[in-house]
Amino acid sequence: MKLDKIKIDKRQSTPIPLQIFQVIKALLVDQQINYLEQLPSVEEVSSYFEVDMKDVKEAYSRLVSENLLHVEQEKYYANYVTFSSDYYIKPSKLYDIIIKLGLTPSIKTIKKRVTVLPFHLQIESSVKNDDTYIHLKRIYYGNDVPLALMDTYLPYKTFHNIEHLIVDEKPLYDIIFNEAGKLVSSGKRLMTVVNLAREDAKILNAARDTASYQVVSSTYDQHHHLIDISRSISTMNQYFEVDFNEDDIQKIAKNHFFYI
Amino acid sequence: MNYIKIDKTIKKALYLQIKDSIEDAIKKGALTDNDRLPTESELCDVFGISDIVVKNAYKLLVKQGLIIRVQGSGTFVSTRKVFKFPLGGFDRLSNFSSYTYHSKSKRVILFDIAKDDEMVKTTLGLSDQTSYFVAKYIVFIENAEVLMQTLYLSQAKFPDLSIHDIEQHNLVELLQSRFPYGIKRVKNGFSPVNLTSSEALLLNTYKHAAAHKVRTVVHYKHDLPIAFIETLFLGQYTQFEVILG
Repeated sequence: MKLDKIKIDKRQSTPIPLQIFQVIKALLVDQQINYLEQLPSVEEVSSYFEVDMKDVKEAYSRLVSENLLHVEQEKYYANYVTFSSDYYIKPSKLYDIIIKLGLTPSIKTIKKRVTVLPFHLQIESSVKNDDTYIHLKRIYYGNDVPLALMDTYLPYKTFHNIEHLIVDEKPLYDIIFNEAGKLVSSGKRLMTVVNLAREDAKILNAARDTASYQVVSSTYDQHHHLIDISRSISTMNQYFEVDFNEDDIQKIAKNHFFYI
Repeated sequence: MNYIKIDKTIKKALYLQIKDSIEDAIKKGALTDNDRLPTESELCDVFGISDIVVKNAYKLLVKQGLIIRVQGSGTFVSTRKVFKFPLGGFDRLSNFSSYTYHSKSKRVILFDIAKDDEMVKTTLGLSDQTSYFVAKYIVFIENAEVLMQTLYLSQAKFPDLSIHDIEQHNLVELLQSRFPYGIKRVKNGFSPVNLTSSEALLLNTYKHAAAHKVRTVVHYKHDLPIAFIETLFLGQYTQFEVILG
């Protein structure tokens, strides 16, 4: 990122740290700084604009705490991605999303076992039974940076004969479609924000308690049979947009709780 | 902590006995939201067990979403109502109607005129040196803090806007009744953030709690931006639901 994109006006009453924070935030939101692009160092910004290092550091820390920058060994990287809302409202593959971001995707399976569905997933997905599932714990990388942790539960009785085909590097839904003829046709997603647990933070190379998106989803095939229940967690600042239109708003705002 | 019962003569693992006791107490209402649970050392002391046993029991309860552990403050029952917001296909906005509540209130904590934030000006399409109103408020549902909003409105477009307007109207009413703009489109962007300590205080939760930050831009006729709102929804109590397919 070029330093001349940053504008600082020392005559303004706005404190310097706040100015730096606001201008970089605006650049990130406007996608003028790409995801994972490295920002100029604190020293560079400070000497270029002749401002105090302390002020630059303060601005950068605030950007980190808002999850807009990612810091590693005192280097700062943009952590702001805009997704198409399609990713959230249509069945889609994380693997494809990573490619769309211009990154090279890779997957690593760190756990594979047969087990029952954990209690919290039963609650969140409203699938309650004592069936056994193939549990896969996989890390999704983009350019070798861990982006998301995915726990997938596949019904054992449906998928035990293709279990051996599930290997790293291959998106799961491709294998399921090619080998079992099952197409993801419907489902439900529940999106929450959680503080990153210690063990997940370690895997994702992030600070403990970082605000992260957790998505619990259940998908069904063309015959309404369960394909999988999964829980993914990601520290990416995944900004995405959803539009509402006028008619809907008027109907809702009149009689019901609406947040604006 | 008399709701916990341990029988060391039976085979059942001790951590499961603790977990089940607490789960039972929550189900029966003996424990309610925000009640503090005993510390590890308090339990070890009374029952003569190791702290690993307590840790395991609490870990399971955290996973079930029945309790939360907050660094430096303790372990608490967490059964505050979770709000489920539909998201996705516009037709499904009607799902909002399935959400009911008894009481809703708003507390405005700041009303101001400012002109410096680049991001606000870009979003509202304001030129340099023009000012905008800033209003910050907390929304309570069933007397619990659910969200915090910062609303930005151009000063030129909302002459004589006062703090009372903000207190008495929601944004939809403000744009449709109090001022002659109407709403054409609402664009929402979502990202995860950690609350600062001041935001946590205002929302009555713990520091660093995870929240949804929703940036909303309201457009009026000709698709021009008329209002910009940043909303913090408490992550622990808010879920966005998407129906696929």
